[in-house]
Amino acid sequence: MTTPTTGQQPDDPKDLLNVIAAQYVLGTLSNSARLRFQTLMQQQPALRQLTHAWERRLNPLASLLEPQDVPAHVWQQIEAKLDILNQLSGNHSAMSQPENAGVVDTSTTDTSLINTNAASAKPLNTPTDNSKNTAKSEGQNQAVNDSFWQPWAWVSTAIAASLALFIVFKPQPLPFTQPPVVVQTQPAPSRDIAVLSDDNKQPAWIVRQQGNALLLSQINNYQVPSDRDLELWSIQGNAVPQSLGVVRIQQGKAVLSVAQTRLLVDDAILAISLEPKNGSPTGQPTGSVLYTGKVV
Amino acid sequence: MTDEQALLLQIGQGNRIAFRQLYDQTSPQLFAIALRLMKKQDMAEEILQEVFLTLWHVSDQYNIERGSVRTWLSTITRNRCIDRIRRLPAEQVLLLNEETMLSEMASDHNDPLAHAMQADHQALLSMCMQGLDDQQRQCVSLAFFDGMTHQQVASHLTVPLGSAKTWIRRGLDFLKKCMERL
Repeated sequence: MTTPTTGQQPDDPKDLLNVIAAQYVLGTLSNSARLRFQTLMQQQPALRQLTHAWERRLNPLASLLEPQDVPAHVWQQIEAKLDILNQLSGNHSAMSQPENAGVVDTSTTDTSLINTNAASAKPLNTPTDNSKNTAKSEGQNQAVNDSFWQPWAWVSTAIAASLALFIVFKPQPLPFTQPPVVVQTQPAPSRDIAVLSDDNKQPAWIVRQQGNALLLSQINNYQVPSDRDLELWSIQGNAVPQSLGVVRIQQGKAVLSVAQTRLLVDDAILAISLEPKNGSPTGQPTGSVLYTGKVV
Repeated sequence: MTDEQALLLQIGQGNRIAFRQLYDQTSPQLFAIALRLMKKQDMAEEILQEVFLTLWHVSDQYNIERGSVRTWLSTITRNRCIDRIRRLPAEQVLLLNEETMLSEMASDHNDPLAHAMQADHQALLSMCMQGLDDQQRQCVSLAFFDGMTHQQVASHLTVPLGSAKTWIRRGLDFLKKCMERL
């Protein structure tokens, strides 16, 4: 259990939520409390706003650290990963620069556009769009509420109390939004649909479809870092990658339930990327793409 | 619109040159954050890559409510680091701390908050920092810059857990009130 404050807990549960938000931003919450807080923040706009206010207050402190030289290979690896992702999206031309792309004109744009027009400013149906996240925005287009710190008209005491208690005292992490890994117990017609290979064209995974489940069999000996998870993606044509779920390996095998079997049609590309624990936080691949293969 | 906000717009349109430009402008600061929190060069580099790959995909999600672009990127970086640290086995965290941090933390030389008090360009911020007493400042610094939990702060300072919590709580209360006036 993480108790974010001392014996001097605020009497008002709304104040307690404020304290927890501050301590989330400061970074003192335990892993389980952070996970619960992050999940609730996605569901509760008011809690999100509260947290963002603390981010604005505290995170500029990071500028007090002396900047450090970044090794050149970091950028090279970022570019390489973008190239792979772009390739997977089937849009080699996505990264080609628009005319005059090298000239970043900062003099004629309006600050308000940053929230309202950024997404729509992307050329529709261009390959570029396919490699970029279209996941739902966290609080996008929300206006800053200047009266936010006025008495908490936006949330009731009862709700605040229950949220605070949930974050602080609930012993188990919340379920994640990623498709769960399930154990396949019912025999079903099955077929091998893809072989996923690594960068060296070495086969690493065999993917078998059994009804609405995917059985993944690992061929190589890759060990997933303890703080990471693998995530399986389906990419069709120019569409953005769709997650098929987090791959949790047990004795060289993993089983995923796939609600949308349409993601497994012929010529779709399956890819496995290395993601933060419990999968990509953005809804799009963010880590290294380790294995790819075409559905046949 | 700031230069960095304009770059975000360009990135949202798939402009890699703008992406590189923002990387050049912000990565040294973000790397400093990751290096300080993760204590390991390779882990900090990995975090930095993740941050910019994320940025490439979600640049259009920037909202002024998150502060400046730099503050937003700092938030993403810190969250990535802290999430990673929290998931490390306890013994690994302890090892990292013992290897690279304990001796440094004994000195105010590496305390950015102490440093800020003398930095002219951080005058407004340091005004608030000066209002913290030594205990509050040290606790806030250990949590913010080094990613320590309450328990870790208490252990590091060899003080009761309740004392660490109280100092952090009071420090945050003070910073909130002080920064609202800025």
